[in-house]
Amino acid sequence: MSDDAEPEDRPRPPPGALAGLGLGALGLLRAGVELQGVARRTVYWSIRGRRARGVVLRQCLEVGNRSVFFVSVTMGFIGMILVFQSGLQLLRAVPDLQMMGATFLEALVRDLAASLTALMLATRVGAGIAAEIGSMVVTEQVDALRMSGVDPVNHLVVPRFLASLVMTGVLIVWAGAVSFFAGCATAYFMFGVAPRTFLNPMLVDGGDLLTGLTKCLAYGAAIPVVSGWCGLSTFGGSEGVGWATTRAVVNSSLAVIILNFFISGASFLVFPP
Amino acid sequence: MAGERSLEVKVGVLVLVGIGILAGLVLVMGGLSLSRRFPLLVDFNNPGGLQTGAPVKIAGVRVGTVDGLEFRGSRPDPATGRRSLVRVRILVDERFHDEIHDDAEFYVTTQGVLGEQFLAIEPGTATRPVIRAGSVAEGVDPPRIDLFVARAYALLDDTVTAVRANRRQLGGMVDDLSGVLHNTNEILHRNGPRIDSILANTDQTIRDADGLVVSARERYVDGPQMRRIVNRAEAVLATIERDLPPLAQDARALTGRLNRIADGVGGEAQLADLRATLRETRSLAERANSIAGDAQAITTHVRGGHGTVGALLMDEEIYDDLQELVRDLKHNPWKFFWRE
Repeated sequence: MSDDAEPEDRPRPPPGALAGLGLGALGLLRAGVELQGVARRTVYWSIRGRRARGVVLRQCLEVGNRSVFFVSVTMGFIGMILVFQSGLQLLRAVPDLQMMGATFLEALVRDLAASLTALMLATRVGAGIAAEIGSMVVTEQVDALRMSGVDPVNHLVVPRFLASLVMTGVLIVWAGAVSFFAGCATAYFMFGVAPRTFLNPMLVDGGDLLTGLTKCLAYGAAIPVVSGWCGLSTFGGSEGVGWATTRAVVNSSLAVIILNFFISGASFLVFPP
Repeated sequence: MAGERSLEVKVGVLVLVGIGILAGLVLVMGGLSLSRRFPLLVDFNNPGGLQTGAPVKIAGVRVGTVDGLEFRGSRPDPATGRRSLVRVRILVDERFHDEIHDDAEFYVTTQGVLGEQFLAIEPGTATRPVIRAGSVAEGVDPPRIDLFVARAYALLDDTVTAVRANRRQLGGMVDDLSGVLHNTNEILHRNGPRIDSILANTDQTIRDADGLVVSARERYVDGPQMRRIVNRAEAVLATIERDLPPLAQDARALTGRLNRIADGVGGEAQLADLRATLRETRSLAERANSIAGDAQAITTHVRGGHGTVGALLMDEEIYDDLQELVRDLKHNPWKFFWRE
């Protein structure tokens, strides 16, 4: 607010390289602190808070059911593309596609289903959450909530967080199945691999399943928290809402990728291949 | 309220579908089988990359799964007495039980070119009894490609090092070998007819030797002479076999008698008499020897024509004189009574 107090006729000199670096670092640090504050409050209100009946359910419908078509189409095509391309590459190395289904299933369970679906959800759900909360911020509804003694995180982020925690997992499992069966059809029609041969769970073990489920939970938690933080930190008018939406998609996707890196690394250490 | 209920149903269906797919994956991953299974234990020293959950197959058809692997170390199994590092527990569908016999073979093999390893069962001989559930079998260890590659690498490395270190000697050796081959070729080329002749002679010699062997066989192995010798030997052996027991019996009886005689002259007095007798006998023998010497000397003397008897026996003139005398006395008996 102090920036707004400065007179308009005294423009600030542009920061030097070092000052720019420091400014960026400080901004990143501030963002990290704000994000962890939102995350901490989200977890706190998820445990301690009370919600009106049906609020979480409506968010479940919004996050889950209304994403089914989008996720099914994208993951179905991704499954087909992955199997087609990997089949072509595999045929160059060995003329044997018996294990293609098993390796594809392992990759889906361990990583691809969760990460790709989460990236899709980051675009759809993250953008929706940020736009909704951001517009409430710019229309000062959030301020009204604060004045009423209600934590906006409890009221706006927590229902989406709980809904996402459940429905992201469900959507990832569903999308993984769609992707696998789309890949199975591609393998059958393009390479003549029988569905019974393709449906080979031999390479999937408990470690793969646990890694996949951990990613489901992590992405389900990260997307609404990051998007909610982006929405709550909206400033300006309708243009600010647009920026908040963009930041929500970018930051949620980044969160998915970074979490994927760390969870995959931990999984590699705990369940070595 | 109806809208709320519809919303709940929609979300509930989606959650149920998700849980169903997840449960299906877990069941398929765990080798879903509704049939009963029986356990078998297979010992390996190195089961390669076999993992828990890997399929068990007979002739390429899945019949069960690997339930677990236990590292046993080098301690011997009290039941079998064998030492094997790893024991693999497998679960096989009960409907395949009758197909696996007690001489079945268990080995680890690979599916496809890049595939995972699985445990294959050769069912064994159909006439053998069916394998017991829970019994311990000895598995055939998979070939150690890594070990083979390591050893082959070491061998190649040694070979290359040796070749590099002895390049000059090897070059000389190859040159010498080439020279030897060249000379040999020249000798063969120059002496072609002689070599042909040598070979022909060798061939003839071999044929002769073959004929010789055949003749020798006919004569000494299959011939009547050898058969006769064998028959005689058999007869001799039969005679020995027949006569040996009575001979042995007689010898035993003789020995018994000699023992009894020896026992009879066992007294000190008799032994003293025997010794005295022997001494006298020796003295007598010495005297006889002396007499014989004297007689021999006399005979030699007589043969030499010495002395009266010698002259009488050996001198022809005396014999003639005596013969003349006897003839004269026969014709003139009066000369016996005539005295001058």
